[in-house]
Amino acid sequence: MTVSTNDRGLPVATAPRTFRVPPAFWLIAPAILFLALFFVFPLLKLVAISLPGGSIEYYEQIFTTPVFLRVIGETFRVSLIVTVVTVAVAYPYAYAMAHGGRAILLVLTIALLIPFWVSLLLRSFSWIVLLQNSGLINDFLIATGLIEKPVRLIRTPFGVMIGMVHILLPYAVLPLYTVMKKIDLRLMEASSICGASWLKGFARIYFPLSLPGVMASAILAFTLALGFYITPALLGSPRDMMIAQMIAGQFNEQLNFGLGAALAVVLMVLTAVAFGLFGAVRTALQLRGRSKDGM
Amino acid sequence: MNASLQTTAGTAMKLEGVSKLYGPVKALDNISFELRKGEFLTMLGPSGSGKTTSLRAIAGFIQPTAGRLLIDGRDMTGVPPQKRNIGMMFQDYALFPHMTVLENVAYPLETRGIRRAEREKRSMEMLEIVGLAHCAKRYPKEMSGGQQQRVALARALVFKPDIVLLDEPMAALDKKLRGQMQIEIMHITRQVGATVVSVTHDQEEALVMSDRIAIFKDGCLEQIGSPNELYQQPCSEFVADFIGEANLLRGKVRAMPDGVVVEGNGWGARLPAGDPRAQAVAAAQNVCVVLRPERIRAVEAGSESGNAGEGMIEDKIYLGVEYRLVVRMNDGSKINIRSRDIAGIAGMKAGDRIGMAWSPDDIVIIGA
Repeated sequence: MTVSTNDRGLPVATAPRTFRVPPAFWLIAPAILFLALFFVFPLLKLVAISLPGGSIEYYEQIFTTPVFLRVIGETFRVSLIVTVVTVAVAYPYAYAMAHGGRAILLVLTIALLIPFWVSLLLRSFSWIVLLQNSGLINDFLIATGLIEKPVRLIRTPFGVMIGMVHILLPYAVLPLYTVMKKIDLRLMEASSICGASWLKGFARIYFPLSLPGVMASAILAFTLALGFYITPALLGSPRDMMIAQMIAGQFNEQLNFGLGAALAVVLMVLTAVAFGLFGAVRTALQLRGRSKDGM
Repeated sequence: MNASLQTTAGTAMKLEGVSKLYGPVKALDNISFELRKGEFLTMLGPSGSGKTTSLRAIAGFIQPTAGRLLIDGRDMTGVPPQKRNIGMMFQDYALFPHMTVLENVAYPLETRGIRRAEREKRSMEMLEIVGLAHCAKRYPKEMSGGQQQRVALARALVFKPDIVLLDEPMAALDKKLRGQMQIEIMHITRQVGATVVSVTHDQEEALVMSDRIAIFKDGCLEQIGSPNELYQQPCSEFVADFIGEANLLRGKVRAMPDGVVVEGNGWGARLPAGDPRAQAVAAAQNVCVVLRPERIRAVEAGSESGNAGEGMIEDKIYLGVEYRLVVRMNDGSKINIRSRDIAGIAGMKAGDRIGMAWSPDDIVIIGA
């Protein structure tokens, strides 16, 4: 018989190990409970509704109806363009924040965060005020004599994209800023003393080092863009409909819950696929760096 | 041709009255010196003395407010860093983390438009010289501090620059590695015949590596010369104190029929009439006498006069090859003595009166 003893030499009962909930668990329990109740359960319910009696008829309908495919395709196309434009605009903005000094950082951060405190709906409505035929932009262009008749800005893909870029900008700037702030600018000094112009140094040193930020920015902007609802509804024409609007339509107007749920699941899966693709690209970039290593 | 552009043959670089103002603050005040080809010059000084500012001005990262910089006889003031043909090793090396060692070293050749095969060959040769050819495919973060430093050195030398700048080259290394890298960097830069300007606040490092040392203080160039010149003939108390150990004795000048004497409370330094310094010293009133600790002989109290002093032993420290004595003189000031006269000193003890003697050739008089 084995009798174990503790460090004072006293015998200790060696009870069989039982699973114990770590105390910290109780701190996150409310959050987990909340998520389970109001997110996981409804999500499973949604999947269940999209597969009535195990039938995949709604999914068949989605992938055989041209209008659904067109809206899905359009959603990805618009999101991709918006992502590219957003990251392109965010890049110099984040650069100025990261390396422009304290005063510039303060001004740019405030300018970036103020829109956050204004509701999404309000921001989209403001774009109507700016973009409509009798709006600020057209009035200004006519007043300066650049154009004679108002240019159609609202209810176009352009209107949708400009609104989306504006709303996504802070999300794209912040990850870029975080990465850029950590880039040592002395590397650019080292590059210049090695004989490189600023542009050469940017292309060979700064930009490659900022790529993780570009990727993070793009993933965030793209996945958010895929689910946009209010902005395309207010600034676009029915032809510019995105998948979120179509889902809402199925639930609110057509009352076709099954089809709406199936569309929502398709959006979710495609978003996950896009996310995975970005991740794969990033890993590939890192691997390319490593493979040169020969280790 | 502009006459001042002409420099003597063998001059690699020349600073002419270079000043840099930051608002009212003079970071550099009228710095002028020449650098000879193949020379290893160290700019030495405490932090904030202007040595790093000078280095950055030579590199072209900052523009002087006044003055000119000539490299190989050409005026380079206002020329951007990438057009100066200067190599630089940064304090924490500034290696490009996303490039391999080979790509790092080849980068200056890449920016000069040299073909890949050629630049890889030349970079490998350079890596061979610094002893890292086997690490060419590694990334900087996979290497030790000493190895990273050698990569940085290879990158600074690979394109045969006119001048190589070293910014606090030993600052990021641990003490043990420092001594080794000092010798190694010295050998490598000599081997490739580079002209080097280094910056440090470590006087030992400056003495080990340099052909000449430029001492900076408060934005001014205090003195420039070979380590031996600076040690033997410091031009100011600051230099005397900064290079090596020094006892600084302040005394009054008194003219004598057979020379001149500098006197303090309990000591005197006499220069015979024939001494070349005597005339200048006689014209001054208060001067400072610089006495190196190893030049002072410990003798019996009162046994010598002329160039001698007296005091009380405060501390006696045995260091194996030598004794170190701290002597308090009558006016309260302390004198350090290093003596290898082990037998002579062994019998002395703290609290004893002691005499000190030195030769007039071993003293430097400042302020005359």
